[in-house]
Amino acid sequence: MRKAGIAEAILSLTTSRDHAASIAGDLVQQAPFKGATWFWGSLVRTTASLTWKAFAEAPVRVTGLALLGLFLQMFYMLVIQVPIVLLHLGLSTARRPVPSQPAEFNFAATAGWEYMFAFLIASYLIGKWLARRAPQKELVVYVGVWFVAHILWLPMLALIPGLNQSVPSLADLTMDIVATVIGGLCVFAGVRSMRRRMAPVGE
Amino acid sequence: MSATPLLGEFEQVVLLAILRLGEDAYGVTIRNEIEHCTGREPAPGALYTTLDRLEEKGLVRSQMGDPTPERGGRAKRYFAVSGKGVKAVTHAMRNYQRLLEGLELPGLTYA
Repeated sequence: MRKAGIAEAILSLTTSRDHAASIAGDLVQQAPFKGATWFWGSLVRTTASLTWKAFAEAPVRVTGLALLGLFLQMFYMLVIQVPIVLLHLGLSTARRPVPSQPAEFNFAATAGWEYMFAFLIASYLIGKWLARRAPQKELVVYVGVWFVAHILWLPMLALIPGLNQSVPSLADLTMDIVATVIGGLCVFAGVRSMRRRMAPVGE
Repeated sequence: MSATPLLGEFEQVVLLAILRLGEDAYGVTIRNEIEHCTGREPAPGALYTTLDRLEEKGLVRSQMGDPTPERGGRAKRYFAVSGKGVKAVTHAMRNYQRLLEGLELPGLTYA
């Protein structure tokens, strides 16, 4: 049953594999009587409760891992973006019509795609890191990374020269929601990939 | 000698539901028993975090059963109240009884 698998996979980001399977089984068992809305609503509420419990049990450790995770994500993004920018620069230099003229390179035109590409790859790598550093607690640490990034993001909007913006625009917020969802899926893929690698042989 | 752990209201409700269910106490039946006896539907998240907390305190034990098809092939996690849990819930009920002694509540009288 597909929804049991999805529920178990999500719950396993907050608790042990056995417990996640049994909770998913409980939800699946009740779903025929209570409906699909109840099933998904209960899954979200249970995941939220278990995530909060994980934070409440070790707030300092979770915050520390979230800060480290954010630092790593930014480092990965930088490492991924620098070669892409250099490649663009090299290509625009090689393709210039008059070799004696300086290359024309429009950073702004490519920055958005490079940023998104780097963000998604960095999210995947963070997922792998989370599976190693915070097994069965991946979700709470990733939520922590998201919170810390957003706490830093708002003051940065006001500080970036030329942006002239103290609150995010609707387009920024929409982009943020899309990036959060797609980035979250990449983190999830990273966690699954690392778990498969770490699983005992034959499992 | 260790002191009897203090229980929150919902922890008492969950422990009593497990005791009532005996060997058939797992997530679904515990939830249904609480709903049947108290008329309130516990949030699944609250129930599972409470069960985890009770297990961490040593008040309940859990063990996995066999996977069943109606649960998408997932096993049940059966719960049983430990000796420490029985002691804690008994202590809590005694405290309630002491508080109720001499009170006259609508429909209830305690000597």
